[in-house]
Amino acid sequence: MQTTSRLNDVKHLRDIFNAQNSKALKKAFDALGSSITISEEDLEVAFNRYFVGPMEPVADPFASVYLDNPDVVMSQSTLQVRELYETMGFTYPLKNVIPEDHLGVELDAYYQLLYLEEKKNITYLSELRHYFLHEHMNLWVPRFIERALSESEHDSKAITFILLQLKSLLIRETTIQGVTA
Amino acid sequence: MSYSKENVESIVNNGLSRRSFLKGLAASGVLSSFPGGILQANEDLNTKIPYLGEKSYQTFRNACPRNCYDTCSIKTYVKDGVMQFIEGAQESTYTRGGCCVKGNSYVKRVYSARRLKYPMMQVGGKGSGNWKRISWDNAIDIIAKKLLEIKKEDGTLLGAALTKYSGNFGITHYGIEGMFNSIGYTTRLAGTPCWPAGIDAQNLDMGDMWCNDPEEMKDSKFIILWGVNPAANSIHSMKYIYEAKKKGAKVVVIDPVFTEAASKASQYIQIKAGTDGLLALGMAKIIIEAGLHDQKWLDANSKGYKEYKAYLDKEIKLDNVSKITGIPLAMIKELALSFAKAKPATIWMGYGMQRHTNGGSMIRAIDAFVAVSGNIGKYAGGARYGHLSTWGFNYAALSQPKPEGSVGYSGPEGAKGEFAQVGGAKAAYTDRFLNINKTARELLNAKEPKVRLLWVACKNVFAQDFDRNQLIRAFQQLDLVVVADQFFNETAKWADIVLPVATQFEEYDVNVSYWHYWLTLNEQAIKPLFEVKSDLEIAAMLSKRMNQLQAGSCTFPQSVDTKAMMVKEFNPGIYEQFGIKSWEELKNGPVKAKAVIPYADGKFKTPSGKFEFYSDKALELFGSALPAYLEVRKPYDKFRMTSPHSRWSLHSQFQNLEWMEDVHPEPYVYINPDDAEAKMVKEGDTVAVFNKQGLLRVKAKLTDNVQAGTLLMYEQWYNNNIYNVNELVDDTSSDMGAFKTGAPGVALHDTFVNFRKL
Amino acid sequence: MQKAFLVDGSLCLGCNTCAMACKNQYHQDKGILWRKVREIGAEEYHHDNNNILPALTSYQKAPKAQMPMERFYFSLACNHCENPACVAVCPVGAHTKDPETGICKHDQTICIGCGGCVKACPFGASKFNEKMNQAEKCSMCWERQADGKTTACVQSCPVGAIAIIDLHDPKYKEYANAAPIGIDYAINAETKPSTRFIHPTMPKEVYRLPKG
Repeated sequence: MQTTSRLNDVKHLRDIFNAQNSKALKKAFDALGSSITISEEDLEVAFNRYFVGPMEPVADPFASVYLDNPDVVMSQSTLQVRELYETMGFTYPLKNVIPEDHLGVELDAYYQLLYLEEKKNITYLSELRHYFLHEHMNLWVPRFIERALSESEHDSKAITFILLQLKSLLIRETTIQGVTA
Repeated sequence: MSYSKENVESIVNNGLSRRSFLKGLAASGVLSSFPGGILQANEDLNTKIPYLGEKSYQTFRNACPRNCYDTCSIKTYVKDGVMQFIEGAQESTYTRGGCCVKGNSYVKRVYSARRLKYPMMQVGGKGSGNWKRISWDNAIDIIAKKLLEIKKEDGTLLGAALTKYSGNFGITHYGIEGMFNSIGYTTRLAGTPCWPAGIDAQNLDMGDMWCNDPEEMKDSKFIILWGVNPAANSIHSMKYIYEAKKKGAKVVVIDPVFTEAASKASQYIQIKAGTDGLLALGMAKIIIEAGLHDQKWLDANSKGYKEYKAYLDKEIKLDNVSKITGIPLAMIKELALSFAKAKPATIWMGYGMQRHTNGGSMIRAIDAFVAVSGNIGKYAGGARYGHLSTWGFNYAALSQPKPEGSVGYSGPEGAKGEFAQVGGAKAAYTDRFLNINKTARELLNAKEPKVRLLWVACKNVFAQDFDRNQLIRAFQQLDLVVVADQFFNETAKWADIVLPVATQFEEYDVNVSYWHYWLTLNEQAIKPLFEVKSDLEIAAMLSKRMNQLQAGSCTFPQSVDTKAMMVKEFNPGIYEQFGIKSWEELKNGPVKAKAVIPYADGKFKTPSGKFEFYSDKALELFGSALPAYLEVRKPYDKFRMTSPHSRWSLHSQFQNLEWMEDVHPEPYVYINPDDAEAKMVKEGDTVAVFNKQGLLRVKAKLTDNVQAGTLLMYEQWYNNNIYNVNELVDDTSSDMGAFKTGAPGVALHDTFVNFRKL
Repeated sequence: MQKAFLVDGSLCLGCNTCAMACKNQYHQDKGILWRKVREIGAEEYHHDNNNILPALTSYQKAPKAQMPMERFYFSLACNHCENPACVAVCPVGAHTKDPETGICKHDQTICIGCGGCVKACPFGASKFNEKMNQAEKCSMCWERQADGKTTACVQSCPVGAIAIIDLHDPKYKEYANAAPIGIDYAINAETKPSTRFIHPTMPKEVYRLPKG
């Protein structure tokens, strides 16, 4: 697999989940290269309905909701991820504002570790990357995806596409590298 | 490439080894952030702080700002910027180290995944369910432009309305009213569904609403809990009642329902709802006839006792009292006489008791009875209802001047809310006041100008106001509805813009209670999560934007610091009352006001300066100078529905939390077994409870805690359940409330329904 | 010393402050409560052992009681038995009884999730956490007590309906009942629960309106 496209896949998904406005969201979505045409506003409305609010989202994008209690953020899992980021050597400027285990933030951490490995040939952090992937992300993100995909009442093709991309990414990352735990 | 889980875990758990990972990074100079990323590579490594018990946490002082007698003082334990747990403050003898089932769920309220996180706008119409994120600047810009548009078209801001009530009673939160003051004369939903009839009654009788310190109750020799259930709704008061009882005091609960409090009393007396005033008049007559009244006190401190006594002689027949209340005459006599003989004796009148069409008259009658017994102005005595005597702050946040040249409502003098401070010269204009208890109707009918913008804060309109269908219509015909809240609720569903607000742990404030006499500092314990803001910061942002668009259009400060706003509320009066020199002393814990016994000096703020059995004001406003018996509303359906407050929630707050669902998952209707049998309803059956207003489906529980002819459903709001007792309530008013709070109250317990098995 | 909970049903409001204080302290997973406020007189009450019911038939059950609905309560967590079944049954020593205080402690870092204690406890004190695949229970806030505080539930109770006593203190010998009334509870259990109860009574005078 080309390293460029692998990194980009993570990057675009990261940018989708970190998007702070409809423009950034659309840009990242378009970069995924789907054939789905959707307006900026429709995409954002669907994204909010699935992941943000203000009503109860279809699937909260926080690890703690799947690993700890279904209703809370900033709990045990979040604090474990916080420690992990510190171990990885990152400073998180949104500490205590946005939980560290938000999918966008986790994809960012993953992206940066992968970037260091592939572009800068820094292999020191690869154990951490694998740990983060297998012992954390892979424990909750599949359940997040499943919950989001189970939404049938007002399902959105665009969002489904995003979720399937995320699903494939996770499968590729966790199998191709030939990992032993 | 393989990895070793154990290796990584030992590195993560052992902070020192962390550095070995990053040696290489530093050496190769790659410590810079990546475009588009959030995380920044960090040279500065933190080591883990080991757990050391109490000392390993940062502690903060907080208060529970909810609408509750107990207004707990809280100590908050924080680690690495995350709230871990709370305790009640030990320094307060009232809170005494513990909150309640709701307060203890605060950590999970603050960190609920369901909290509103970002400002959002509903596109495609109210109720469409399609929401976009907008930036704070964008949201404020939309609101500011709308306000200025209204001002331009109408010449006033009366087209902008605020409905704000008791979601947060912190003193600086009157800055929300302040925000509306600062833009001009506006429309306000005024009044209160809560306690206005009783407030009027107490003000007519005594010139104020001013209860004795509840902690004194431990020394009362006779306590009547009249239509109040502190075992559910003021749990911190119970220890004083228990102490009194242990020392030999008699505790009597008079209530149409055998409540939790009743189960802990010395005596429970069931009464026909709405007849309490008559009982009190009868009891007064009894003690006067027995010569147990305090003639000396009455001569020195009352006005109109002669007329009152003549009324009792002529109009109150004891057999009739017994018949109407349903209580045997011997029992009434025993009650009255033992009360009169015990010194001191006290009566605690509940807010539930006055939520009838004759509620104000009932409080007046009980006030009169306590006065006759000589217990007004006595330590551990008194006719207790509530007080506002520790609320003498500056209200700096509230007191924003109107912009120059503001034009407003020039009808009759505007009424005051029950917490408002009156000051300054009488203006040519006032705000326009609409009755909060008839919100739907008032919003729809307001003319010249129409209401076009509604700001909702510290309130859940669809849970707490009445006539849901009309409310939807009212909201839909408004140009812009802004809802500032912590959680998404049905009111937010019908909004155009939702603004996420901070919890008390994310901002500064100062709190007092309308029942106890403690003062509590509320510090900011954690950073505001996501993009939430304090209501005050929202006001400042609005002011800044409005002034950018039109200089001088808003006088609210254009930037605020909630700490500074809190400090501004203190004044020499508060310091003197609480015996402190600076608010900073409150960092060591809450403090209590210097003890004062209300009316001990015989001075009342009534026109006569005395306790008024005969009140000219009462005659003028309510048609009766004396606390005469007023019949309660006649039933318009088969069963009375009583909807008391539940211990599990505070109106629509707390029950939506997962932790609360663990201890209390669902609502019930409580039905007397005889009534259930007649309709073949068994325990656990789902029944429909309905009347001309609406219909609810709810599971039945059978108990003789409720009398035959009455159904009981707690007033609550559940997640994922459309249960809402207010759907069955029409907006019939109580007799009093307009005198001191701007509008009459709502006769919530004079709701009538029928039910059937489903 | 044998630290024990003294549970006073005559004071208990059923407010559940204690149950939530424990959750506030430890953040147990959804559906798991270490302390529960049990309604006296409620019928068909079962232990919430995640469907693993102890063999209650080998124990006597507490006497039934007829009480008004939702008015009288006992607050129960772990009974810190003098002869604890959990300690006896645990294959890895995750359950221990403190020799000094008598507190029955559970250490989740050792627990292997065999479920033995969940089955063995006559009172359902040990709860099984499906997600963590481990047991968990009230350990009388022993860390708080070691730090000079009292338990979260005792501190939080607004009326002192729960207190911590030393069962070996002579004044408690005849003081309170070892057996509660009206709740699903194994009395005279071999494990010798340390919890003691004060029974509630109805008010001396209760007047209800006549029918019709």
